[in-house]
Amino acid sequence: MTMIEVNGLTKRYGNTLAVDRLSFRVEPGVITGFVGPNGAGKSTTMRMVLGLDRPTAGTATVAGRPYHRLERPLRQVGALLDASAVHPRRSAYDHLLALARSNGIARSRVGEVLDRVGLAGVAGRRVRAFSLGMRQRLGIAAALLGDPPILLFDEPINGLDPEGIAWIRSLMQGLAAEGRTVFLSSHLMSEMEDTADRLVVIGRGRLVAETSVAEFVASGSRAEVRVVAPQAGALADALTRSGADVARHDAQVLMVSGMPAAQIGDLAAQNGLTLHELTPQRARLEAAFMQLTQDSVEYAGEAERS
Amino acid sequence: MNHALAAEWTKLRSLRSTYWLLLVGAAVAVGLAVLITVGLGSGKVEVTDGTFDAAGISLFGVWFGQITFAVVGVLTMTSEYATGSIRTTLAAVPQRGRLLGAKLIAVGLIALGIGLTISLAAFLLGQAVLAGQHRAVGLGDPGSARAVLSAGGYLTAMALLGVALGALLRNTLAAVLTVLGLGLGSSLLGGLFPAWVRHHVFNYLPGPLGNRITATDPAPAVVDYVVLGAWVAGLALLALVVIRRRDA
Repeated sequence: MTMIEVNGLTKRYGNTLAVDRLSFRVEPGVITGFVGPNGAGKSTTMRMVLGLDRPTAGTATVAGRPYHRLERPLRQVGALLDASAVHPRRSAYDHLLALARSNGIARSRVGEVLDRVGLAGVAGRRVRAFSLGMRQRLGIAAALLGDPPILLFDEPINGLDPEGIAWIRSLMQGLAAEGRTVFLSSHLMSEMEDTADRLVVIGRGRLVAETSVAEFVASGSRAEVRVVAPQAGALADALTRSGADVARHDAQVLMVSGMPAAQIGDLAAQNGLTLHELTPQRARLEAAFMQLTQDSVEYAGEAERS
Repeated sequence: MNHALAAEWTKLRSLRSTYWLLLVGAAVAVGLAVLITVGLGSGKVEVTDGTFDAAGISLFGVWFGQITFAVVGVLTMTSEYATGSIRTTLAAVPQRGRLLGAKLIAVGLIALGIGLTISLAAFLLGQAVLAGQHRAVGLGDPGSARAVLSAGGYLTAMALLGVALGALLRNTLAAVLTVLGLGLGSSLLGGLFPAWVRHHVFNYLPGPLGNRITATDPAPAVVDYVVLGAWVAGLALLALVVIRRRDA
């Protein structure tokens, strides 16, 4: 079953189209990254999925139903929207207890999730005294409270220190390994590289790509091989004759595309040319992302635009 | 609904502000009952409008208790919008009518319980002082019990109006000023307006309605209770329509 399905979702604020006929599906049991530049409409989309904002047009369903039709939704979907969505004068324990009660979740779960996110020691303290990292952990504890099969995280690593980032990454991988569906938004593609299995890429409220991470990398940039050779000119001629695209970067450095590294090595040997370096370039997710969303960035600096 | 109600109850009792506000309301109501009746005994306070309403005098302080009750009601809605916790709340209870209903019931129960307690305490303490001046009334005397119950009911109505206005306006200051304008302002400022405005408009605002239902003489009309109830029901319904339509 599709866990989250968005169909023709549109949100208009006055003259601004924040989300424009967006359609995608989040498949079960994997981590799906939801990426796009800042202002692309990610948070608005997530708010509509959670029934907080009303779509101008289109639908969003969770586990086959509109969110507001879910009874005890915390048992089906856990969400971290923004870590500040907590009353600062309430203790972490009471915050979670009220949420647990609202969905008929046993009180014992409060202690369990506080343990899991490492906040058990400060459970009785008021949230006002919490650092951003602690609030983020509290938000995650709230998302895990109902032991839901689906989890939504909006920019979960924003403002976290490296230790916190590593913790969230391993937590999400753990959640996916338990068979849960994780839908994770970020404006940083680099964040998805080691985390997500699938990607939903948006720009200016529109779908740019819906694909697996591997396909996305392959589609977004051409595979290149960096070659360092003392007789670069002769090698470039030989490669070009065999149909490769060659760009000369330096007296001895060539960037070759359209030919795998092994074939380049063979060709050099046949021509009696020495190679000092032969390195396939790993296509960066970030580069692929930039290329795909270039046209849909709303606020691009002059330098980026050129 | 039971779950949503339990959650709202937990939220109310896990904030210190709830206790402080209700404690201050109780102190003002009971304190004024004692101060005024003692002042009457020493001649420092005088009844100027002729009739001596022993029950009404002891309940005078309860009138000011409505400020804190209204604020408790307002804050249950506006603090959620001010802190952003409304998004967490609605993700847990996406049925907005159910959420509003749970808040109204939780606030209503707490306000009714404490409001009746405060009213009864103010009445009993006030009468205890007046007994020394040989002009006390008892709960069994005509209109006394009804005045005490009505005072508790009026405090509850103001707390519920606070919830509804908080949901409508989403801003603490705006909602508190509006509810206090309806409750306190309407009975204080009515005198500045021509008689026909007073009779046809101000008389049907919550403040003057509250004044009448807590009086022993003349006995309040049933219609006064009905109109006050209509204020609560009307604003609650309006809040329901609005909270369902707006983005959180």
